[in-house]
Amino acid sequence: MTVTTREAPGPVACTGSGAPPGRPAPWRWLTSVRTVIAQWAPAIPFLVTAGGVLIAAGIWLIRTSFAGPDGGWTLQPWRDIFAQQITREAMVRSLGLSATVATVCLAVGSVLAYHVSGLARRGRATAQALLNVAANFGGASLAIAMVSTLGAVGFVQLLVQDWFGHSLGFDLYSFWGLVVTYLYFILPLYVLLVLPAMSVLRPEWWEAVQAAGGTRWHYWRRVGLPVLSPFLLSGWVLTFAWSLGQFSVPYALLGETTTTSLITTRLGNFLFSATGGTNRFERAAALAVLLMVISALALVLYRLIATRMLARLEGAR
Amino acid sequence: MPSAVRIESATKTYGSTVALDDVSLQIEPGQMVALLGPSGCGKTSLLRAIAGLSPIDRGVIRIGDRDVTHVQARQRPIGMVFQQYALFPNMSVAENISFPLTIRRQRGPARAKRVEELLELIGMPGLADRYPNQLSGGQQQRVALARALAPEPDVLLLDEPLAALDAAIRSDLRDEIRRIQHRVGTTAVFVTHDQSEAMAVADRVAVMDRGRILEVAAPAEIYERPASRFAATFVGSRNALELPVGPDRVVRWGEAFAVPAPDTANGKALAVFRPEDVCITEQQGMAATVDVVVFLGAVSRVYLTVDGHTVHVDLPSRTAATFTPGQRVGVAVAPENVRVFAS
Amino acid sequence: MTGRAVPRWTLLGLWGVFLALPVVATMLYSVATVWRGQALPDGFTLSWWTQTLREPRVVEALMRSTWLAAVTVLVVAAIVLPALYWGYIRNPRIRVVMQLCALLPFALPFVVLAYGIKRLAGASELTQPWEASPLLVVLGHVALAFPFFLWPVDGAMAAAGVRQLSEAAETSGASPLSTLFRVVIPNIRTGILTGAILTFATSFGEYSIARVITGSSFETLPVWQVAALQDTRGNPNGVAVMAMFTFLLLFVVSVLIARTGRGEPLRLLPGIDHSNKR
Repeated sequence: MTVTTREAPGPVACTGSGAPPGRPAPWRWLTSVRTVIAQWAPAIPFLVTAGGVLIAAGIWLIRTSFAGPDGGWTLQPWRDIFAQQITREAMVRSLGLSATVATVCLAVGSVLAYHVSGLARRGRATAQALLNVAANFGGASLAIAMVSTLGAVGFVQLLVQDWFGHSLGFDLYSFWGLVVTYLYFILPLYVLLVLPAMSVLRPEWWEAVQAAGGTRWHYWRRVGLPVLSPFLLSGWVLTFAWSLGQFSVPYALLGETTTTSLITTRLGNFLFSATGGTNRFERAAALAVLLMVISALALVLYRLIATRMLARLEGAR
Repeated sequence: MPSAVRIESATKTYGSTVALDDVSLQIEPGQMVALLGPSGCGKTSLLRAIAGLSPIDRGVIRIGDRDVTHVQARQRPIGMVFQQYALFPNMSVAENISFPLTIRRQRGPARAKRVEELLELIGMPGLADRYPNQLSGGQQQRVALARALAPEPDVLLLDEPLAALDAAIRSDLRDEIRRIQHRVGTTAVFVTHDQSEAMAVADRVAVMDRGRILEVAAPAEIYERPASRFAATFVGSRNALELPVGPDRVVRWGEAFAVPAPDTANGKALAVFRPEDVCITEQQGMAATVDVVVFLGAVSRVYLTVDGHTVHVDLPSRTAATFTPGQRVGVAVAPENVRVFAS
Repeated sequence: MTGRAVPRWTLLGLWGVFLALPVVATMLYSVATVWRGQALPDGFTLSWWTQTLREPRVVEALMRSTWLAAVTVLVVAAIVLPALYWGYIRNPRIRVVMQLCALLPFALPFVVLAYGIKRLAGASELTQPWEASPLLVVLGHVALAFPFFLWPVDGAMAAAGVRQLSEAAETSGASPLSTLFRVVIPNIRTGILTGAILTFATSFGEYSIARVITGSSFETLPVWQVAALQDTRGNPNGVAVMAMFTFLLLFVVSVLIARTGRGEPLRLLPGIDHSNKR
């Protein structure tokens, strides 16, 4: 007969002692260790793999970013990455790119999400499936597709040239080329993220605005957008973080050039090219930590918005 | 022969809430005991403790002559029926019912025969291959009952089994559960917050409040002579009046009744009497005015204003029909029908 | 609301065109004989397809990607299912922890994680032999793709009322393992399938981790694609073929999701979605 402890389904998530009564004091410590193990055992592989790997890698990177040539602690890698002009430019460009992409998503994607949410159930399901494909169509394949479309001899370039005479004047390898490329797969992601939020809008509210004599403009300005704004903002934040961390797409598109580089491609540059310098790995680590910090901040912001907004919604019921 | 279920001093706390407070109960084999009480009284906690789904902090639980306090649920000789049926959607009716047998590695003709027996018992012989989503709520609950009875458990546990059903089928299923339990002879514990359900179904009713068992008795006993104030007010419909205790230790209500006060009552006492025990007369008794007569079918409820209180009286409808609002009448209650408790 | 339907369909239609164009372009490139200056290619041929799909380097890359993705799915399922199940029936805190962990990949861009794992493995003598091993890539993929398995499966478990079913099974005498396989998994099949498909797709198309950890020694399909794209002497058509191939694979996959999902919304924002879907 084994003794097990289990969680009672009470409103309070309690640990429940489960210890058989009358056990002498020194053994109680052992029993609580057993309890903890029993309660977490099947989750250990997960915690070690998913949690452990992620956290351990993060910690290691932080350590490496401060590592000196003799194994000590130094700020040199950090000074280096901010000292180098190309790297500084890459940082600015990354932040600018991500902010631009996120903002376009916010402006355009929100409208698109609203329209998708208005589709009938089957249409919605189809749309979601398609958007899922698009959102996953990243990396190398996307770069290839973009080159095929908007590259120097891309389909659209040739089409415009053929039909209208002069060229489109669009450079895929410029800042805006990157924006368009990112938008291809990040816009669907944004729409999928904020789509559930659209169902928060009750039709009664629009009816109430009409009964009070208001127009669509009034509705959106005073009711719709204010209610949706937390969702849209958290969508912006996640999209920003996701854009910032993109590596495969810009790397596939731009390669190891140092012209239109981003934080991520600089990182790749430090890693892969042997001409990076003596402490290139440490500098790569520093860039990685910088990315982590920005993304972590974005995530914290996202959680804050999400919880506050949930609280507001619960109160509004 | 040892009692089928024996609970000794069971205690359970959730953080600062006491779910079970030193509860003791004995259930004889073949009996159906109802645990009755309002939400949060501990009846579900007690049931789950017997099942082994929620362990108790202190105390002993015995099934038969075996101490099962620290035995896991799946090793206890129990069968359980849940409020939301909990049928496995991926299995047919027959597979659901035979699940406990499959677990015990019972196979072949013996298992098939048992399933057939049980289907017969619950009155659904041809529905072995249906799936839960093709059954009505009542049918699903009956399959759940069959599943619980399949391994011939020592105790059958029912956690508010009728609460999720429509009112129309509730009473039918309630009587059928009773019938089946009688026929099979399994000891059963039935949790409910509906006192009419408890009284219709059980051999004995345990009234619970705030983690304690207040009294355990046959339904009629609890109804007629409740021992606790809580039972008196919770079970059945009643009139309850706070009345002063006279210097001669008698609780008097005008000409309606005069009853000796219990020893514990000081100053004020609570007098409780049933609507069907009130006599309405033309001349005698305490002065009252009829407010309204509510028709309830065979019985009608007459609401009266008496001495500033509202009293309701149940009478056969034909009799009640003779009263009109505003009419002046007299009321009286036989002293043996008034229960008095300390206030 | 026909007045509103017109702008809706216009907008969605435009977006649809925007999404379709690159696919069309890639398709054209993959079947074009020669394409000079005009709107459409001079001629069409399937030879690029047959050629590329027979090229040993491509086939090997394809095999490696498939193997990688399949192993990732298996490992993810094996670590997530027991943990999540336990979180439902015994220890609710597990679920909270898992949901938090699921946000970590968004904080750690893939390339960052890849580098971190590689350095970590290279740090101690015990793990050094695996520093550039594909198994480490699996680990990286598992750590980053598991949210895509977790969210659908979590949703499915909640919808199926796993807790109640488990109690019914337990009082019928079943052990937790038995319950997991006989009762729980059959009832969350859709969620598991969706999760497996999404995890597979994520791992299959992933470039950074494979590249950073193994360099070019374990060439997966995306690694091949990038190398081929940047190879100035290479043939653009072959590259287009594999991009089209990947796209078709993903497309088939999401059709499968749409059919198994039956119109249920994909829970992507774990913190926000359930409050609305009443």
